[in-house]
Amino acid sequence: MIRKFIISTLSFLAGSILVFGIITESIFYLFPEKANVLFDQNWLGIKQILDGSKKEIHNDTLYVGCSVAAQLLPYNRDNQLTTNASTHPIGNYFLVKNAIENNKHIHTVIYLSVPDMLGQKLATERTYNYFVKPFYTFENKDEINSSAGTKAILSRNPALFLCVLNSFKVIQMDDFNYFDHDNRPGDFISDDAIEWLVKIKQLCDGHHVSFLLASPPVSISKKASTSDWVNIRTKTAASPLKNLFERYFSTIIYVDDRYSRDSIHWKADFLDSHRSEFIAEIKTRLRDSVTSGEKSLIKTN
Amino acid sequence: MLFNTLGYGIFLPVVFLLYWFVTNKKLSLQNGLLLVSSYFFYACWDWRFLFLLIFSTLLDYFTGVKMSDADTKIPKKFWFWLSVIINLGFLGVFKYFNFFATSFAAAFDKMGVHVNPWTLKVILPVGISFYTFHGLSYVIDIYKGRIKAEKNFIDYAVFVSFFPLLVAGPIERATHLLPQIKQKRVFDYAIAVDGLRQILWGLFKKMVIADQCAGFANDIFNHSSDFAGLPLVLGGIFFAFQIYADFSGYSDIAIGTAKLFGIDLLRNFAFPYFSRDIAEFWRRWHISLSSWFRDYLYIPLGGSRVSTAKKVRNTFIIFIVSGFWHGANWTFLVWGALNAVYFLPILLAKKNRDHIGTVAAGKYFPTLKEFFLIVLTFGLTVFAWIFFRADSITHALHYIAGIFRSPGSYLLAGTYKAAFQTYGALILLLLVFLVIEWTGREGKYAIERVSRISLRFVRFLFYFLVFVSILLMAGGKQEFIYFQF
Repeated sequence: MIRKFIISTLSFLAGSILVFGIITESIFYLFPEKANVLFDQNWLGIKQILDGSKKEIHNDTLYVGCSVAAQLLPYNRDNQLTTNASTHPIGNYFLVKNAIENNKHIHTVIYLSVPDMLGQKLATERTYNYFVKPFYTFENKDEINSSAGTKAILSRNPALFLCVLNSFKVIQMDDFNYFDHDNRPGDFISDDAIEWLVKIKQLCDGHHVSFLLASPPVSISKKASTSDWVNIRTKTAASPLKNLFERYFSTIIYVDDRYSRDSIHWKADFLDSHRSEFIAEIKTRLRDSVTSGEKSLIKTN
Repeated sequence: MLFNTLGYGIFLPVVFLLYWFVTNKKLSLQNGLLLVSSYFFYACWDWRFLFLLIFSTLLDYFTGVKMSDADTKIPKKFWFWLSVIINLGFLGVFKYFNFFATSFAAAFDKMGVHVNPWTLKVILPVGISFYTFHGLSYVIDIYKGRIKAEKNFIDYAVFVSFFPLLVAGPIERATHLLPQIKQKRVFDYAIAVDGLRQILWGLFKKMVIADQCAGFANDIFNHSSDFAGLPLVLGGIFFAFQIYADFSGYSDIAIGTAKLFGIDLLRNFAFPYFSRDIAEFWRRWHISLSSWFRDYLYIPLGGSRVSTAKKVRNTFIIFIVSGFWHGANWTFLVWGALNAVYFLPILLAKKNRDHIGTVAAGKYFPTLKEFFLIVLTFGLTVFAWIFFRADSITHALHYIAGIFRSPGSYLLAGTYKAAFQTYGALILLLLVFLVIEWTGREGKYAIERVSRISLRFVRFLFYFLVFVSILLMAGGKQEFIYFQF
């Protein structure tokens, strides 16, 4: 009787999960635009950009970066591959890789991110949603796992392999929290961020593409509260990214906090009226900071 | 380890398999396994407090044996009071010390004397109120001569620590659970299936109903000053459903789990929101605690067979103590006192046993009078829940005042429309839940009678829909409310 009970229970569970899986996967493939109605599928926004990175990109200067960068140069409007901080430099590595391999006209990649988001650790509560779910695929997983540190962090999720197997986030519980209670915000850059920024640089060098770091506008109060980013400056000065970061800090445009929505992002009306001004200023500062050979690559208008 | 986590989803099948396939030859082995797994279950939350649980178990076991062995009244009394004082002492230190320290300091402050209270920086050990009450009922029963002391420590420890009931009840009695622990259990297919069904329904209540309600109730209560009128009423109703689905869901999972091991636990809820008066509500809500207070506090105080003044006193004592059991906060005391105020007129009019059976038994719908009484009782309960949920008395009073702010505003169609746009899906979900609960109200839990549907396909479709709802809507990962008590 116990065996009958166990077999019946397992059959019910397996059958239910199978039927449920078939139904949800069908919804995903047949009506992808409706998927968000059923589930919290906001990771699909990142997947859309990842898919976009494999298609034709109209610009010869490619921007990737954080959500503030996405406010400035959004994918849907400007065809730039800006996402959010949780995509992490690892996700951006794959965006850049796809873009430059499929678009030979791209000559410059600009990693646009505010400093407090640039160095975020991989292990955050949003890592699963914005990095693992869209990027941890059959296509990318070997390269992701080539970094021992990255592999160790991602392996904390015992069901990581399920992510590769199912394209759809079938249940809301399918959301592993990587947050390790030691994710320092602000003036901090993680080792995993540096490791993958170096990889992006090597990737670009290998394709003869210029790689630059720049910052979208930052709240002025952050300058004082971080002593002008002393920790990031110190740590990157001892890294292979020393030169990139020296130029990076000269691109930061500080703006009064009252225009900020949450001390990171900007109020929509403020940004709408200053968007082109900011972009032009960032380009000018980049031009001023780079060597004469690279200047020609950065168009100021 | 929470019932609604993957960890428990692994733990339970492992213990189940070991219980029926490895230790099934010998009862002592089965009980040993239950004890070890119960301690593991508890240690997953915080292993340090496991020692407190073991100490409390040893204390009651030892004093129980000593009381049984005592030839005269004096040593029996000594061991009894020793157990009671230490048990309540632990509860007092961990649960109430800070409350009394800060309350006295506040009182002195009002008299113009500033005192810096010394408070303990300890967290409340999960389940302490539950296992302390287990132990207390055991020693009281031995002292009163209702039962004999248990000589086998393992059996007694399983009675106190059996993992399904360890952290949030039902609060068991030695007379009910101990004989089952001492008796050889035989696997019963029908009971095990019933257990699984009850677990499924418990998970649905917790992960779908309670957690969905929690999101909205928390938002409304935490920002109550931003709302007025209808949303605040809805906030109270959402919390009423949250706490019911959360706690009764937990009880269903606990009872269902115990059934898988051939153990029958006390029923804890009997569709309380279909009660026709507050007396009936209290016979149907957290039954194991209500009956504990009735048997070990109310009846020893004289119960209702005393003068009117004493009836009033006893009623207030039992409800206020019950409120205080839930937590060291004035809000719980007011909640208890409010229920006493609701209950007293019914008791004094000797109408407290007017509604014993299930409402509209054997019928599809209640009569108009029954419906009116159910709505009235539910309304009174929701009003009391506001105090239970609020952070402070001031918060509760502001919340209630907010309900009556701009009294005409929520009669406007626009306000209704806005409220239903925001909360419509949840209200619809609650209506579906109520229909299922109503149709199943004559069973021990709402979907018990699904087993009687003769068409197997329909039965499994129903289970599938419940299961899928859990998969689709779960995700809030809220802790069980009663863990904090």
